[in-house]
Amino acid sequence: MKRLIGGFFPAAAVIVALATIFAERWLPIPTSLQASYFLDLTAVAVTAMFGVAGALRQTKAVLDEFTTIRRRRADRAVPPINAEFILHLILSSEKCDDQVNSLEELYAKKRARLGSGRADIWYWKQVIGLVWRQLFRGRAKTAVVKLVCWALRICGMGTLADALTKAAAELTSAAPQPSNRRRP
Amino acid sequence: MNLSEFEALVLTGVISAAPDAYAVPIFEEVEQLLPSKKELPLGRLYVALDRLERDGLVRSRYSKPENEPNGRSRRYFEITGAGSRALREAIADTGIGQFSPRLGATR
Repeated sequence: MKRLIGGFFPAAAVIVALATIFAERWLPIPTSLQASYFLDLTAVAVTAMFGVAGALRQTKAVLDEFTTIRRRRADRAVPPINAEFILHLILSSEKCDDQVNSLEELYAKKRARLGSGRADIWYWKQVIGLVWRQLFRGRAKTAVVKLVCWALRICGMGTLADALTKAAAELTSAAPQPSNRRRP
Repeated sequence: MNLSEFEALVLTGVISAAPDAYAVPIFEEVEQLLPSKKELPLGRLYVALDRLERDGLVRSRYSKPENEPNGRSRRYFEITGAGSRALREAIADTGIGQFSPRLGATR
């Protein structure tokens, strides 16, 4: 409704301006120079008045809408959408649903305790940690070994590089368990 | 089966949070049991749970989305017989439960 009113006033201003020009040109009214100026000035004044009023109403409508969205977001405790989007991009749908669910539940609790800013930071930290631990941790280790071997080969130590590759492969196949697990 | 302290804590969390043992209650249980008051990353818990499932110490199932309040499926965990045995052994052999009376109580 506010948008309609906001749109109505500028339109009305244009119609009034056109009607004034039409009256000036085509209706049998005195068309002395003074009268013409008077009509032109009236048209400009009316247009400006309606235009400013319409713009103000439109601005108020937009601000009201913005405030409503902010209030709704504050009530619902919505976590950062971008962070959630990263999880959707990377994880399978079931896994992602479960992890986003858990993150949202914990986020709501954190937000109640710490406030939205710190809860948002907490959420981002958790998402980065989830992605790192589940996707890149093992691969990063492999990449480091490959990089070191490549550097050794460039330096002419191919035998050492081969030995390192072999040792890394043996370690990976012999010890799939994490390093913090106790050995018998 | 030799468990790390963290894995023993996670298994205890799974037992304590049963029958609705999904990630959040387990996370809260483990956070309470942890000796240090450092913030526990959720990713660490998920990795540990995946590892325990791979080793056959816990099993998991995804719920149907329509049964959940926000329409997203959840992963529920349950300890297996092997998991219970491993936890009992870990507590008896290595005294993992010494630092936490609640973990010792599962003995």
